[in-house]
Amino acid sequence: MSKQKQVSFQKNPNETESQIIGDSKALADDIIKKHTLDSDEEDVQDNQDDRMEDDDIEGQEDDTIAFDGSTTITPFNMREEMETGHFDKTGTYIFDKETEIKDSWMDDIDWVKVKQNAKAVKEKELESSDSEPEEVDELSLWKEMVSLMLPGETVAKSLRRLGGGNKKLSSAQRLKAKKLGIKPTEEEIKNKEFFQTLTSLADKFIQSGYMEIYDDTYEKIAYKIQEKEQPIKKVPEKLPENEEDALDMFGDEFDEKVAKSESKNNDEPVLKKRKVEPVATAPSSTDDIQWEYKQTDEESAEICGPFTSSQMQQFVDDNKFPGGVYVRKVGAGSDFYSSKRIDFELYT
Amino acid sequence: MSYLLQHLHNGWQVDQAILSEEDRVVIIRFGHDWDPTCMVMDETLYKCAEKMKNFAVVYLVDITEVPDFNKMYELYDPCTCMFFYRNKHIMIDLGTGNNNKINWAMEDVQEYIDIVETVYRGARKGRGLVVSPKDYSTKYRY
Repeated sequence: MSKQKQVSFQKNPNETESQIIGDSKALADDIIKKHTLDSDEEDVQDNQDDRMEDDDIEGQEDDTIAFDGSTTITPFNMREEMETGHFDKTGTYIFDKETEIKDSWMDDIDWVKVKQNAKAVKEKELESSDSEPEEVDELSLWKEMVSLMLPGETVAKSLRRLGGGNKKLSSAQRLKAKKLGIKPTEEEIKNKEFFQTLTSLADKFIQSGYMEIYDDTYEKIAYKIQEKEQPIKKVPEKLPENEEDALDMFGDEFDEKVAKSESKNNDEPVLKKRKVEPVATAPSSTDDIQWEYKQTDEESAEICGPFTSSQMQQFVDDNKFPGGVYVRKVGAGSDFYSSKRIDFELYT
Repeated sequence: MSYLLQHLHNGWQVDQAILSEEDRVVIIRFGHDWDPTCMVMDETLYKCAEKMKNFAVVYLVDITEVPDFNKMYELYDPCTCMFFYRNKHIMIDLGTGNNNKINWAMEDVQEYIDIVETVYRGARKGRGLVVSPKDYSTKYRY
């Protein structure tokens, strides 16, 4: 057994600084080696101890003749195999990695740099995947859309009116029209423009993840605008009442309106949060819910209240009802329920 | 029993009913129309349906006709009511120990509406489990 490869860990008192540096360099080399093309193969430490010696392989026979006529005779021994690899103690044949696959591109890689960059790239990826598709300024988009639609129409219907209304001309007809010098009327041009604007607006919503845009009616959008504007402040003109003005998208008045709504949106980040959940028609507006309570479940017990949901939540938070009281909604006709089971937060 | 509540006749319809509802609670009654328990429940549901049409919608499913969900939702009872919101099953702490469903017939319309409203409000606030206003543990023991 060859002993020369065995590493001795005896500390050499004479070890010089340069040796240590050399060692660390070797270590670095080792790390780099692991990044070779075949690095995903098992790192077989070439440990001589684990080798099976030629003598350990039983039943080998010496070479006899190489050829019998034209037939090659393979000798019954492992000599040939031992040239290209070795057996370990458990009998697994391991090829000697003599010719490592070299790639000059790989040699050029500065692994220290790669490690640093990898971290940055990962962070970037995380960021980009987290960040939602850009928030659209929905209020102004809604407003713009509603201005292009007629009451009672869905977006899809509006598009049909603006775009599909004029019948498709055959190419011959078109040619004829061209010859005669018939140009599309001003309204047709205008409609076409509106059609394109509406399509691009709808597309913005689709891209922001709101897929039902084409089924939304004029009224629904109007309601949404109203919903959005209400919490900010009462705006006199929630909707372009004047159809003419509204349809004239190049009108100054309209542009002003859009600009106004845009600036408003920027001031109110709260708005966006509201939009995340499409506005549902709540059972009854949450502000309206009032509660009354009594200390015991008896008929004769004194009823206190009414209180708002947030007040009730405050009471619960302040631990005013240690034993629980019996509460009911005012005017809903419900029974008295134990306050312990009611989460007033849901109603605020 | 009421013919005015909509029946769903196959698994796909059930899936679609749950999936397509945007901002309403989907209530599905699993059972048999001829079952006395279901008849009581359906009567209540019918009375409620109009009142809670703004925040809930009711469908009836015959578990013999549509056996697809019997195993998944463990529909062994004569009558089972389950709540869904935006394709998510909403659990209710009824005090019975089974938070997944109402598996008895409820007769009180207002009580039922209160439960559905709690489900709706909870679900809208992102809760997967809500607490029913009333504790049913004492009344309906297993």
